[in-house]
Amino acid sequence: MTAAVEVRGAEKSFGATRVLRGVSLAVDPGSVLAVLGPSGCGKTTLLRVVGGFEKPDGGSVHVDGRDVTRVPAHERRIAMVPQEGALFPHLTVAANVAFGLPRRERRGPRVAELLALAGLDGLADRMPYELSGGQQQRVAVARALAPEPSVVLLDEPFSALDAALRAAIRDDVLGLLRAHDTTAILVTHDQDEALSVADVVAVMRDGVIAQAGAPAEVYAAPVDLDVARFLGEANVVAEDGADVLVRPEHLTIGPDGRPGVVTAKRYFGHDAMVTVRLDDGTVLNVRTPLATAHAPGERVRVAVTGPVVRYSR
Amino acid sequence: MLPIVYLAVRASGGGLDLIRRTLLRDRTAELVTRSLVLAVTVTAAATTLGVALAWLTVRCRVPGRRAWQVACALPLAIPTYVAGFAYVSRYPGLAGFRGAWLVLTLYSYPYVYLPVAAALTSLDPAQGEAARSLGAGPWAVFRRVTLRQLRPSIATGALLVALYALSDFGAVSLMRFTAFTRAIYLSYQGGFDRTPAAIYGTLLVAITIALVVAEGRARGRARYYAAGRGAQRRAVPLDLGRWRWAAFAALCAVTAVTLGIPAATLARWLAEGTSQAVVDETWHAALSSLSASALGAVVTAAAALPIGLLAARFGRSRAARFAEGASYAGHALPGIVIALSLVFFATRYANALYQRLPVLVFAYVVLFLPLAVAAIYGSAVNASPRLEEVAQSLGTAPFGALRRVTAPLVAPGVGAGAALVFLTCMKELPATLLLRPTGFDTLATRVWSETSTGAFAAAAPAAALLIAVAAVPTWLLTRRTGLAP
Repeated sequence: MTAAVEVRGAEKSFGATRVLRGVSLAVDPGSVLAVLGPSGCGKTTLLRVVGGFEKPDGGSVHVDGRDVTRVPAHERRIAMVPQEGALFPHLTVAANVAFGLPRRERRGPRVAELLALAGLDGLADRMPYELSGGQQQRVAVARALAPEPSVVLLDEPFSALDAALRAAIRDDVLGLLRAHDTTAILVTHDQDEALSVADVVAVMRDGVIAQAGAPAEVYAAPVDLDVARFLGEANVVAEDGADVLVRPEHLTIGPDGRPGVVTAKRYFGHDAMVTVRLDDGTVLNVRTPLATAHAPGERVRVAVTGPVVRYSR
Repeated sequence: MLPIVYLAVRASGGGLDLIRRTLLRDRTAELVTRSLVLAVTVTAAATTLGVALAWLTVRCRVPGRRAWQVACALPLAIPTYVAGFAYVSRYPGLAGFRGAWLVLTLYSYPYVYLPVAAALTSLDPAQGEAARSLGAGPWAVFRRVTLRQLRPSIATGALLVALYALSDFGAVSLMRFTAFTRAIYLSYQGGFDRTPAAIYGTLLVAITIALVVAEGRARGRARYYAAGRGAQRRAVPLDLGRWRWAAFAALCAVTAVTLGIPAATLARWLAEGTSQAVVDETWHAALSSLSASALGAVVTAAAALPIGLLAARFGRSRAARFAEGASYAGHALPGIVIALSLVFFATRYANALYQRLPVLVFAYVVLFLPLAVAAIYGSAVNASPRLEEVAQSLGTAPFGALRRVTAPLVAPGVGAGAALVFLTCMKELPATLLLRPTGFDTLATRVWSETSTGAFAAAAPAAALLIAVAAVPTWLLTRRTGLAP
């Protein structure tokens, strides 16, 4: 199967700073790729290279097997949803959505159809400043989908939203993308977001892709400890000259295992994170479903009840 | 900048000896002293008045607060030569320093009032409340907290007033107080040799620059206090109790003096009746004003468009500094000096154009370009390059993106800039006076020349028209600072 988007060895420097140091990735048609990385790792630059707004110093970009590295942005059929939506402030919601359509279709049924699909019925004549943050985001996605692009690029589209709203808007937007069978690249620094919505997660670090794969695969078998820590809480224990990674949910407090004392507890409602100092001095974080049990000072035993990953030094 | 450089060159044309003689004359020292004393006293009085009025109308519970906020900004709409005409025709005894001081103070204090009122409106009340909770009384809060927070806006306003007092031509010439600008005009009109006028002009520019630099140094690291992020509460207006009627009376008195007296005087002169000849001449002058100002506005806006767009795309901090600098430059260079330098320039290099409309229009461009750039810049920063990129990602070619996204977003700024320049050109006096074609009378020059010869009734219709015209940009300015509805 030909990848919908493929980036081969993309390089980009701004002055003396090498922002992309040979990035390669491929996205299958109809799937969602999340590029996950800390701020400043080069993920927005990567998105702009794919969109055609930055010229790479080296490497190439392919869409449906065609080399588009020298094709100007407006001929790539790659639609962008920037941070905070960036709706055209002088146009109504309907005119925003219709922007990328050919002139004769701008007044056609397609706009109403997209608005209905995005849950924006009745808002067609509003101006962008009259919308909530979540509504703006949905308009931005509907606008990107209107000209039926090959790929949609989303640059931290949910980071400006309230935490309470974020999950709901995210589900709406992803539903919209999947309903259109659209290929999408989503850039984010939020690991929960990347793991929960993407078909493939690419962890980016210092201008290269450190690891790419299915979310479960990347979470369960990180290529190194940095990736492991970036994807979630991690216990790292030294053992026989190797570092052993154990996720807190793979530890259990119970009758068996090594003895220690509870030193702290963070309560989350649905579960809790308990910090235990073992008698040999090792400190472990244990996720426990018994959210109300275990107070600091209590003596407990901790056992490994799930997979561990060994990294030789 | 070129005309100013040329002015300096022209000033040195008479040789070092003439410069030394001109500068060392007693008259020059007297001139410098007069202008500086005028600038200092006007600045002190206007700053006090502006801060007091801003505090009363923004922070205190005064009957009719919103209306007072507009009324306090309105004196800006009255050109000083119109105000000077009103005062000197009603109270001839005021002529001289007292008259010039009074008129300049009363009609320049809005330069302090507007920024301070805007700052007071957006000031976070939490700090004042914290001070109250630490045991400070209302007066102590004003002195120790509020006034400190206002310092940057007060400094900005005071600098504008000082520059205004130095560069004003209308008030001082109608009050027959020979400050720099009037001396330049007289020396230009009077002598065969115009070198002394050039020397005075260069000296005035030097003083102006020194003032701006000194203020920049003094301000040091004190920056504008931007409103904090997040939802901010509005301050609860202070209840003045019995004193509120005293405050009300004070506001009435100020407004009576700034707006009432000119209005009453104009009404009196208008009621005295005018001959058909005066009506015809005023009508002609209005048409001349209209055509020269419209040309000035169109050319200025066209010249400002690329500058404003580039400034907006430069990156935030540098562009912001640019906008600030440009707004100062606009106020700092006295119109009479620009006009004088253009006279020299035109007679030397483009004699065919001297006293023709193009030179006058060019003077308008030089004088008011910053106004137009600021307006265009304001709308261009909203037209972020990101929006053009989105348009391109939706399949629109770069030129289409410019046409469908950036152009409609910048257009209101261009329109507003052009309108502002148009109205400001209508009011402009000294450059028009020096550069207008022979026999070309505008509303401004009419008010000036008729008042100079004591023909007050003949000046009144033009003055009334000018006030009506100038009220529009003042209202816009008040609205932009968030005061007027």
